[in-house]
Amino acid sequence: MSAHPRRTSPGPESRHPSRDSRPPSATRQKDIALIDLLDRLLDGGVVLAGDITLAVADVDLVYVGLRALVSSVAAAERQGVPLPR
Amino acid sequence: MIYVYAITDAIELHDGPSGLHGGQVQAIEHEGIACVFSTHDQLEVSSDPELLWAHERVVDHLMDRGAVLPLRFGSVLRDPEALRAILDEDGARFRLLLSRVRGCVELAVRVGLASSEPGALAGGRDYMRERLAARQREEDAADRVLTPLRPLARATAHRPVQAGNTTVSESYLVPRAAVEPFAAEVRALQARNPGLSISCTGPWGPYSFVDGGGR
Repeated sequence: MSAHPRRTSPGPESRHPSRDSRPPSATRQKDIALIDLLDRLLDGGVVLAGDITLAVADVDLVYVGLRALVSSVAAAERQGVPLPR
Repeated sequence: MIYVYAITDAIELHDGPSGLHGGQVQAIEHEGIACVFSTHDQLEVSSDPELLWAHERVVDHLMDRGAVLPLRFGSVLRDPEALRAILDEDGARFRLLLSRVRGCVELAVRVGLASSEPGALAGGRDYMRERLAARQREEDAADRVLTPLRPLARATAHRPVQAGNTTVSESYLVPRAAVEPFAAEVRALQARNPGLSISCTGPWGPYSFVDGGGR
């Protein structure tokens, strides 16, 4: 996967300035950009009328998995748990 | 079959990115608006991130050139004639939607909330109490972070909190010239609220601002 470089701007430089001055994890930024992408592409956008096929397989599974990932990473960082880099 | 990416009023595909599975991106025009698509002998659409980004790259390219209505991922039609029929039928609605998003991009803000521990709940009453407490946290976070951002946007789309999720998110339709001031405000809000985890991504196509697009 190659995240679009513009996608993580214009986010704040660090999400935990009071507790943690490390740069935000690139992995986590990528995860957040990906779930924001999923939110938009799978739940937003124009749906055409007519004989359209929404041919996406396996969406729910991946979607739920990513949501859980982003939620658990956010929760772990708040509790000060060191995350694998 | 054809895979459809977006509707736009600027048909400039020169030097643009390829589409899903490297498909060549084409457009058909109808009375000043165009539908952008790629043709495929067979097409499997899964939620592979590479395919999702391929869709978004095409939308992104078009967004730099004109007003764009991104389509939902996975929009497949039989052939260009089916697409032409839709443009013929719904052209007026698409033009109205294009006028609403012209000059704007979408920014996504996500605010992390304190997580609950469902395993520690003793029974139904605790569950309800926790539900109410969670709702209160959500509203507090929204008050502190999301409300000050709304005046910077032309429109706002709130996304309901999903069960088990610990983030509140909102989408903003922001004029291009206001993207930097918006980002500066997000940074200031993060500095003022160190207990919250704020993320902001974009610019995206206006996926959350195409209401009336058939949903």
